[in-house]
Amino acid sequence: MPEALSTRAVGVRFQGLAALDRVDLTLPRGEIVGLLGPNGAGKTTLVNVLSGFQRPDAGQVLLDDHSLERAGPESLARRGVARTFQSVRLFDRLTVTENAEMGALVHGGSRTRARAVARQAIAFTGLESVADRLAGSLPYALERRVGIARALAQHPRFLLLDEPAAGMHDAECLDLVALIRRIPDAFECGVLLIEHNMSVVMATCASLHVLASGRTLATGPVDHVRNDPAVIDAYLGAA
Amino acid sequence: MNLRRPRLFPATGLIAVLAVLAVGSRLWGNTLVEGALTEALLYLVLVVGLSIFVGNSGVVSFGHIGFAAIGAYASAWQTCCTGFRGVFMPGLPTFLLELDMPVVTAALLAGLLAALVAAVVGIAIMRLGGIAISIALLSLLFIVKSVYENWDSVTAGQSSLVGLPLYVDLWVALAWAAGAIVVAQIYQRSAFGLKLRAVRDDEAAARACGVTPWIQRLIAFVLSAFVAGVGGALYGHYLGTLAVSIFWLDMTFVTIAMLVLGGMRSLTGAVVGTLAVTATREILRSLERGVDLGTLHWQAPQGSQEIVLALILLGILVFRPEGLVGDRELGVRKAV
Repeated sequence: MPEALSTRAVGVRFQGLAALDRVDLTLPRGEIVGLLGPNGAGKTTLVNVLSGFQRPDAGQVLLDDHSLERAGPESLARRGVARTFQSVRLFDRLTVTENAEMGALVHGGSRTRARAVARQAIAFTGLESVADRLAGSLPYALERRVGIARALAQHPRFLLLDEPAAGMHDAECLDLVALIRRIPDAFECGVLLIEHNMSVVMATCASLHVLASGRTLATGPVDHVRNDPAVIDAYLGAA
Repeated sequence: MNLRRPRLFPATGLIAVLAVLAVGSRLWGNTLVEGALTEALLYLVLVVGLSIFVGNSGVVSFGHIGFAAIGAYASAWQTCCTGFRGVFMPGLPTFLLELDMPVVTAALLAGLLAALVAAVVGIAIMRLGGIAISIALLSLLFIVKSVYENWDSVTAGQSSLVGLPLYVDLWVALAWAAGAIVVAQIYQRSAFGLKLRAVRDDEAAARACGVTPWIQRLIAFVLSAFVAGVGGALYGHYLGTLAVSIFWLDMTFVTIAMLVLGGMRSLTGAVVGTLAVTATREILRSLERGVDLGTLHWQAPQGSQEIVLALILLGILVFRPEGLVGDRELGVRKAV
């Protein structure tokens, strides 16, 4: 069994409403998987399940072959699952370096060591010029980059990116695509990418997982999924 | 780049400023000023203790003066009124009745007791979120007061305890204030301090970085209770007498005013706020005593102290909610 973060028949219900229903998703280490679906399809709920913020009502989350029965976000972070947030959620009153340092501190150790790791993540994401600024003072596109730097400083085995391109214009999207594509090799990690921007998805992902109303609509290699009639009908065709 | 600053800056700078003020007041020879500065330095120990928790966690605590009370009485139990201790506090265990503890050790042990109490109650309180924590901490102050006021056999209840060794002078106060600043600085710079400030800014994101919020709050809470406990002990040995009512809403309000006025999140703010509020109080106090303007004798009404201080605090909150110095620290350029 290759290293992977996966869900098996995961279900989440909010007040009787099924947000996720029997979802099987596999994120192999070293690959980029795109998670697609219309608004309300359950994408963020799935990321919350995978990162320990949401406990599933049914099914299992597996890290490699170990079931993560009662693991909260803290414990998952320590085991190598990092995430970004749709609403970014930076530590606004800390500097960019300190934000990344917080990621590096997930594995313990001194601040000196954490700062060195943070600097690498900052260099990787191209944030050197704003490293000493307060995170709360940055423009939107840079904020999202800091969120990625913070997650990468955790040296995760699996990275969950929740709409990293939201609110970015085309040039910024191209930069972001280039950045995301470098992640699996540089950090030896699997990337789950939630994204509405199809050009970003197509330029980065090898395989896709499409959700609709909490259920898996299609999953597999990009070419396979994008020609799936159900997908065209429910999601891509809507455009 | 301010990352390569000397490890203990701004603490060393702040201590230097305080030392200069202390030497200056002694050379000036004005006992009123020297007394005020001594009291300011003692308050500074309390305020710095408070800021370790409040500044890094973003949670306002109305309960820390309770730890000052715990510290003050704990020191009294070890050092007060040799020979008569059993008369004033017959309920003390035998080993305490016969104890003749050096005052410095007594102060540190007093801080430890406050820290221990903080650790026990903190396990529950630090799990609360938002305003609930502040209310729970206020309740803690009420509980400490009730217990100590009614625990006659070890606190002399509602009457005063007299005969504490008077060893706290300007230099002793300066030394402890410096110690408190150094402790606060080391914590602030540590990974613990950083993690708590991350929790303060965004709890969910901190959890995603492997941080358990309540544990980080608890660490700061225990450390700050220790410093506040030591501060309370020193205050007792400055006054020479203890009453539970000293450690009540007045002191709570004044210490919070000092912290908020200076800037909650900065050590420099704690120092500036403490000095500014003490100076204001001293001026108002002398106005309450009355001033002679030529033939005219004018006296500010009793209670002006509290009212004017409240107005100043209100003004700061409205016009400069970040406090006088905001997030800035002495000698550190503000990160934009």
